Parts: sequence; structure tokens; C-alpha cells
Amino acid sequence: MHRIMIVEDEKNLLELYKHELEDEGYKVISCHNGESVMDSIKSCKPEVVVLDIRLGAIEGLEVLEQIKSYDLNLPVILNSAYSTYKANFSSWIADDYVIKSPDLSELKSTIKKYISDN
Amino acid sequence: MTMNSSCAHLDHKEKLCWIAIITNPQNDLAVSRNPVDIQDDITICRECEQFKKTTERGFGRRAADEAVITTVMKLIEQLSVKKQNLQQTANQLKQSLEQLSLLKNITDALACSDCLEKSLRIILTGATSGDAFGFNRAAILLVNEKNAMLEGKSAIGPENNEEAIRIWKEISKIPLSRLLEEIIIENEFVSCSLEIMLSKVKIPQSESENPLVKALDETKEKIFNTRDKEFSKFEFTWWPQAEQIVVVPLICEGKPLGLILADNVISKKPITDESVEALKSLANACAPGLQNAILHEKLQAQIKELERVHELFKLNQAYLVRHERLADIGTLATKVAHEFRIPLVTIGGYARRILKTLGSDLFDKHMVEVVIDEVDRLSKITSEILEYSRSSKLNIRECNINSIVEETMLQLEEKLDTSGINTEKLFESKTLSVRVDSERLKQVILNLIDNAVDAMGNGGDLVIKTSKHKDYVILDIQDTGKGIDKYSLENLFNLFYTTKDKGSGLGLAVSKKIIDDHGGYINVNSIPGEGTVFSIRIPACNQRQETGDVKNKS
Repeated sequence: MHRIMIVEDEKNLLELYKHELEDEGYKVISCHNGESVMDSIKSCKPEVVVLDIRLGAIEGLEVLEQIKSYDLNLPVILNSAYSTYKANFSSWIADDYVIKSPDLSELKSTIKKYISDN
Repeated sequence: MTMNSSCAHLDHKEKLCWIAIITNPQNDLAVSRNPVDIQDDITICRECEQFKKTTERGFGRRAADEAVITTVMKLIEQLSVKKQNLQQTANQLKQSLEQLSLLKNITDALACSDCLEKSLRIILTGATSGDAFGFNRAAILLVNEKNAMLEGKSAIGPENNEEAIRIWKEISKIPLSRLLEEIIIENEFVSCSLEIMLSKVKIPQSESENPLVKALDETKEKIFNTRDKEFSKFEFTWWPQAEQIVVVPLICEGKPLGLILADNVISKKPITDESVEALKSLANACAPGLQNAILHEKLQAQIKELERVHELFKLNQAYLVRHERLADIGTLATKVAHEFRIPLVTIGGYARRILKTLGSDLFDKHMVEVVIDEVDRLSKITSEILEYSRSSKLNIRECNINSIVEETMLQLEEKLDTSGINTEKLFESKTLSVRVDSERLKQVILNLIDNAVDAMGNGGDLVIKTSKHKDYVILDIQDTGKGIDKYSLENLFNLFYTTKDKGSGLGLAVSKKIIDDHGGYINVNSIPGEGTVFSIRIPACNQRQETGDVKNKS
């Protein structure tokens, strides 16, 4: 079973992602703040990380840097409500960028891309 | 007084000796003498022994009588001459008095005048009224200090002899004071053809050889003969048929305001020194009133300007208040949109999940679909609000507008195919380079095409054209839809204005903002029932960059 990590501080949305991705047959590792991300990655070894950019205390982009300096090959999909971060240079080390939408099909197909790549 | 005639007998050198007068009756000395002095003379003579002897003799007595008679006769004669002179002086005084009273009428009228046009007409009526100064025609030219020109302002005069006679008959019965009163209450004046011609006259004050400028410079009245060389050198077609013209400068406190020009073209009466003097007195009397009228006019213009500025200021203030309020609304809307965004994604996501897990009950499905649709609509509105309030920081790169349009249309291919619309692309064959944020521009094009498709509910033709005009690259999006009415056209780009049932009123406002941020323009032309064209103009990349491009390619 492929392991997907979701980093999202909105609990309801996190739960929705978890259900939807489990329906797709993934094992979902949920993370609702930026601080616990690195520990979870080290212990659970996810294959893909879906990362929200606005996370409260630690900004998503900071977390992105931590992940990439730990493992550059771990695919990270940025997930934001806004397209504005696309223009932000520090977001460019991420592997993909999906805008939050009630329709999760784009997110799902993007995740699939990185799973099948492996 | 000769020595012969002065008193030689007594010691009164300054007195006349009447013995001398009697013995020489032709002597005029007695006549030129003051009658009181004669009485004095004779009182002294009576005491003179010589006089007594002379008058006691027969011849002496007669001679004395004759001398007295001659003297009296001569005195009478002289008195009658003096009376005549007095009469003449009295007449002159009466005339001056009349003239003064007319001048007073005119200056009084000037004081009541509330505009320059009236003041000029009052002066000219004075100059031409038969009652007063009696010229056939008269005109006033004033100095325009701004451009140093002597400019034709106002004129009074008949067109021809017939009119002159008619006017003279009509007006001669009306006293000047009545005529002036009529001018003061009048609001609109009809210009005679002379005035229309005169109004175009502008003589530069630098043209110092021009007789009118000369008269003004020298502040001296002049009579010109139009056949004079000095005169014929200059154009005076605006004052036709003139032969002899009098020009009098209007001077107030040493400053020349302009000129009065007058002549007797109809009556052919030569211009006399008296009439020139009269016109001069008119000019002198009227100059202060005229100066006031000129200042009044200037003041009025300044007041108008101030009022205009004030209006503008009020408008700007209203605009600022409105702008500030809109900015507040904008901040609020952005906050609300931010807060709504994630919950909407969540609601929509769960609704989709419910739809997926729902059984086959069509009604249940429909209810959830409504939730999904409405959430999508709200999502779109929040995106647009955020887009509108987003900072205008652009991710500018040099792009070919044709490629941007192509890419956008690719996204819309399915929608265009299913809505029965024929699409025609008229692209400029050359590369049209623009420096833009391509994502934002795509958003605008997407929005405009979306609107065009909506406007053509039953299908139609969509023409997308790119071209270049001067320094701008132009993108036209033309549809054969229902068109836009005049009211909507005026409000089209206003925030929250919409004609669609489910529109947010943000699409075009956002589009305009994006194009504005690029230093471009967005225009719309529409004929209800026929269709609409949106034109976007974006500054083209400058020539140097463009030729650089071409070189790289070749």
C-alpha cells in the first residue's frame, strides 16, 4: 500500500482528504501542523507529501525546505487555496502545485503521477 | 493814452483832460474809458479853471455837447458788440452744459451696466446718437494684455443709406437717456454686420506703423483720410467705404484701454475739430467706467474659474470618499473571501463525497448536486474577489500575444464546440511581442470569451483578431450576441455590476484592473441585437527589443 502524507491544518479538510485518498487505496499519514512533519516523515517514510502552504506557526514553505534538505527525491505537492505562491521562488523546489478545490480529481491524478513514476 | 489827452492843468496825470477831448471829437479815448472813470474825470475837470473857461464859450459848449453825443453813440455801439459776444458765450456754455448732461447720462448708464458688452454699447450709442455726438458709425477696439493685441469688440452703424434713414427716423424721437435705459435692461444684443466683421479684427500692438496702434501708443486723437498713404498700407476692409475717420484713445489713469473709432460715412459731413473734441470728452468721461467694466469682466471670469475649480474639488472629494469607502469594502470582502475559501472547499469536497456514496435515489442526488453547484459558484466569486484585491505585482515576461490567445482558446475548445459557435481567428502574421504576466492576460481573455459565449446563447460567430497599431498591440474579441444596452455599457467595468443572473460583477472589473496594471486599455463597443466587440490595447515591446528578436531568429 502506497503511503501518502497530508499536511493540512484545517481538520475537516484533512479528514476529507484522508477519506478520499483511502478510497483510492492509499495509506494516509495525516499531519495537522508543521512542527510534527519531519518526525512523521522519518518514522512513516511516505512516498508523496501533499503540503499546505499556510500552516500557522511554521509556514509551509519552511517545511518544504526542511523536507527537501532531508530528502531531495521525496516528491512534494504544494496544495494551496491561492495561485499566488506559484510566483514565489521558494515554492519552485516543490515537484507540483495543485490549487485547493472541492473537486479532488486534480490532486488525485497528480499524486498518481508521482506514485507510478516510482 | 497820449500825453495830449491827459490832464495837464491839475495834477492828475492818469485822468483824461476833457478839454483835449472836446477840441478833438474824433478822439476815441473817451469811448474806451470806463463810464465811472469818465464821471470821475469830469468831476475833476469841473474844478479846472481852464475847463470852465473853455465850456463857457459858445463854440466850446457846442463842441462839448457833440463830444458827449459821439462818445455815447460809440458806447452804445460797443455795448451791442459786447452783448453779441456775451450771447455767443452763453450759447457755448449752454452747449457745453448740454454735452455735460449727455455725458452724465452716459456715465450714469455705465455705472448701472453689469457687463462689458453693455458698457461698450452704451458708449457707442452715445457716440452715434443724434442727440449727443452724432457720428454715423462708431466702434471700440480694446487692448488684450494677454496677447498684446488690439481687438475689435463692438460697433454700431447702419448697413446702408436706407437703413440709416430708417434708424434715424425711429431713433431721433427717442431721447438718449431712454436709449441707454433700454440697453441696461436688455439681455441679448443683435450684432450688426459691421460688428461681426469687427469681432475678427486683431491688430498686434507690435505693428507700430499701423495708424490705430500709433494713435494708441501716442495716446493722441487723430483724423485719418483713408486715401492717405499711411492708412492705405494697412487692411481696413472691416471698416468699409470709409473716407475720413476719427480715432480717439480711451485712457484711464495713464493706461491705454483701447480706441474709439468713428466716422460720418452716410452724411459725408466732414469731421470738425469740435466733433473731435466732443468725442474726446466722451472718451475721457467713459474711460473709468469702461475700466471698471473690463475689471468686472476679468473678475467674473476669475469667479467662474474659481467656481469650476470648486466644483472639481467637490467632485474629487466625493470621489475620494467613495474611493476610501470602496477600499474599506475591498478589505472587508477580501477578509470574508479568505475565511470562506477553505470551508467552501471542504463543503464542496464532502458534497461530492456524499454524491459518490449515495444510492440511486435521483432526488437525493439532485439535492447534493445543487449544493455542489452553489458551492462552486461561491468558490468562483471568492476567487474573483481575491483576484481583484490581489496586489498588482505582475510576473512580467516577454510573450507573443498570438501564443497566449492560442493557449487560452485551447482551454475553451470543448465549451466552444458544444455551444454551436463558429470561431474565426484573424491573427497578425508577425510576432506581436508584449511584456505581460501571461497568466493574468489569459485570465482576461478567458473571461471575455466566456462572456461572448454567454451572450450568444443560440450560437453565433466569434472573431478573435490580433493586430498592431502604432505603439500598441490590439486584441479584438467580437461576438454576434445580444449586445449591451447603453446603461450597462456605462457601468460594465464597475465593481459588482452584472447583467447575468448568477454573475458576481467581478469578471470585467478584474479584467480591467489587470489591463490597467499592464499600462493598457480595454474598450467596448456594442450594438444591442447585433453584437459586441471588446478591444484590449497593450503597449508593444519597443522597437529595439523587437529588432533584437528578429536578429536572434535569423
